[in-house]
Amino acid sequence: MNKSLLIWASAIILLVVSGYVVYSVVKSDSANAQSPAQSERQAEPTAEPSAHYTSVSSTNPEHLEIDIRWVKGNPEGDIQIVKFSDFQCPACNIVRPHLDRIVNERDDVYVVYKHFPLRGSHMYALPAAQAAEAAGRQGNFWDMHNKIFADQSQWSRETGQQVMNRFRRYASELDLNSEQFEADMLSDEVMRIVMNDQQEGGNLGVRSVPGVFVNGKTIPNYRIYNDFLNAVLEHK
Amino acid sequence: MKYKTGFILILILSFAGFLDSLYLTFNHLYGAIPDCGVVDGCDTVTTSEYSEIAGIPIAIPGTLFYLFVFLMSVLWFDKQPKWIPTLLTGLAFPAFLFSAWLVYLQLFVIEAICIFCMFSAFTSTSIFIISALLKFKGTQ
Repeated sequence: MNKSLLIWASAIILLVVSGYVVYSVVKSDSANAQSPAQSERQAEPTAEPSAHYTSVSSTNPEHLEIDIRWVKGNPEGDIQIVKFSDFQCPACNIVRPHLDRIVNERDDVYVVYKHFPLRGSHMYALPAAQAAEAAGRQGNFWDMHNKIFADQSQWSRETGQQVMNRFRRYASELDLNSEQFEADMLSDEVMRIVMNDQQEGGNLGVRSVPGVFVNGKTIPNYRIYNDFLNAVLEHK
Repeated sequence: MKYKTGFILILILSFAGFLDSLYLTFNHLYGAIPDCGVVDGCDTVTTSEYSEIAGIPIAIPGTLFYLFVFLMSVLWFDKQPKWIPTLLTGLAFPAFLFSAWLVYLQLFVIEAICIFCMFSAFTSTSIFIISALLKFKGTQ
């Protein structure tokens, strides 16, 4: 065979095949990501639940059996979306409006927020989770959650003191009892709740954030709402 | 440096860079975020405002750059044209500068590291160095 032809044919075949492999890897990550089955969950005991857990009345066996504290949407809904999330993670912020929108548009969905602060790479993720939990103690988890996420790109660059002052300011804007907020934020109980969430996420195989589960199956992170919606409906 | 050795290295590096940036491109187009595990900042970097320029994901020109360099290396193995080291040096220099800027952004502006992006900086820098060596010190 002609040497030139052989060289070029090999190169083109190599490019096409390897390009297709990369495409397939990304596509399968995007479309078919499966969660570890619930049966694979480690049997490690989680921290003892506090009195602050919410119960949902859904009986769908595909739903994750986890401690649920913060829920949006219809708790009787057939679609359970669980988001293991880090307040300092931009991708978690990208999926946030998708979750709000799906809850507004559909009455068969409920969304559960779970903490998964990546303390190794996001130094304010843990204090942010503590601030949200502390606000939750005074009935304002979601408002605090929204405020923290809304200004994520700003406080992520601030100093530790500035961040704490900012969270205190949010608490006062939400008319929270500031002493109570401060005490709760630093309390062992709140820390235990956050760690409990993280442990549950770890047991479910969460390795990066956000870890989003739809009826027990993980889905990838989507920037575009319709892609997200399609992935949710696939697991309905 | 011998031309043959240099072009084998460029061929390997451009192929690896092509796969790397193709992976980032597909992830961007699919709206997905590369899974770099718990300790990395891939989400921060690939969702940052710097991941696109004028609406074009920067991984796309990266993919085209590596594809072109790969094809030029193949052309060298086919016909050994003398102008290829000059062309590659001219092309790899802006790519190297662009990579240096992206590394700066990751380290000092975004303050997060995306391992796939750093790998691309490594491949483009290496391609530039080898191309320049071939242009100025290349031997048969």
